[in-house]
Amino acid sequence: MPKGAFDGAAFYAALDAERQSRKLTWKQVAREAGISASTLTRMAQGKRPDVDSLAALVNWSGLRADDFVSRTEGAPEGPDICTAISALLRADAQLSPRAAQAIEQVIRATYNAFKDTPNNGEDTAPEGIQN
Amino acid sequence: MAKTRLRRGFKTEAEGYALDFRNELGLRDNAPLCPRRLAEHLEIPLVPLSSYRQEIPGAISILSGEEISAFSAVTVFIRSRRIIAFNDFHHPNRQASDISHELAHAILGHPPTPPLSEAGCRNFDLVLEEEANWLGQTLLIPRPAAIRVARLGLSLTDAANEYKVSEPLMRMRLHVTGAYLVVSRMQARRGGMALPARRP
Repeated sequence: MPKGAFDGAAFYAALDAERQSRKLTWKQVAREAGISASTLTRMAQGKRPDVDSLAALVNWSGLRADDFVSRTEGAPEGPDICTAISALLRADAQLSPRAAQAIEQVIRATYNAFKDTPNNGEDTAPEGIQN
Repeated sequence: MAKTRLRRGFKTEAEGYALDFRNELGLRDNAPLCPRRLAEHLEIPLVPLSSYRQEIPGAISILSGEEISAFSAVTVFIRSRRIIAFNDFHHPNRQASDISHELAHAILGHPPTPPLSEAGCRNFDLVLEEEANWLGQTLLIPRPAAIRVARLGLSLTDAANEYKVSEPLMRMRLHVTGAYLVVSRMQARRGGMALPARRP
């Protein structure tokens, strides 16, 4: 992570921890903080919130935005291989071995297609994958 | 198997999401909502299965052919970021339902799980799936939309086509929202002996 960059992923994780400690749903967080529900979903996608939403979330959570600004040049974040096979799968509960194997290939192909794409609000899908 | 109960207030929350997103997209409360447009708004990439034809032809052949019913959609996580791969060999209305279901998981912040066990069987959290089912369907047909369908007396086919959903889904949403009853009561309040809303 570049020096001086806001670590949105860490901020979102901290928000999630706060949300869970207060036993709230994300919708309740959005309502209490006074921001749109879609802002939180986009933040989970790695998009940085606008200034007003960030201020609202900081005010709601009690977190300090400054704590999520990197002070030094960090090592590049590598892909998390374990995360690659974490997914939510909507499929027939009784999968044949052929179908299960085919679906695993789809999951890995999707992971490989996106693991190196930037996560800073200017995504571009790799060539050949529709976005 | 016992029916999974949704947490208290969830259905109201789901209706709230459906209306909030329509508002953000500049749509009326009862307007159709294109899940692809919602995915774009939420910045969640959608990847059709057919786009992998060259890369994994065997897998695509299986999931578009003999095993087409085995796969609807999957959300792949890269840390907290989600990408939805969906089976575009299904009917477009089915695709809308599948995408809406996956978007529901994202909106609710459902965590990822290993999709397949070591035995190749699905890992299946009933509560998460039931929440995503309900919210996914509500996103497509919120209560105002169901009431509009009932008020206009649209046929099931016409209503399903307008909202780009399957007829069973439209029928279910008309039923669970009590849309026809609501419209009958509205008409009774206005006109005394008004005719009941026409069911298709």
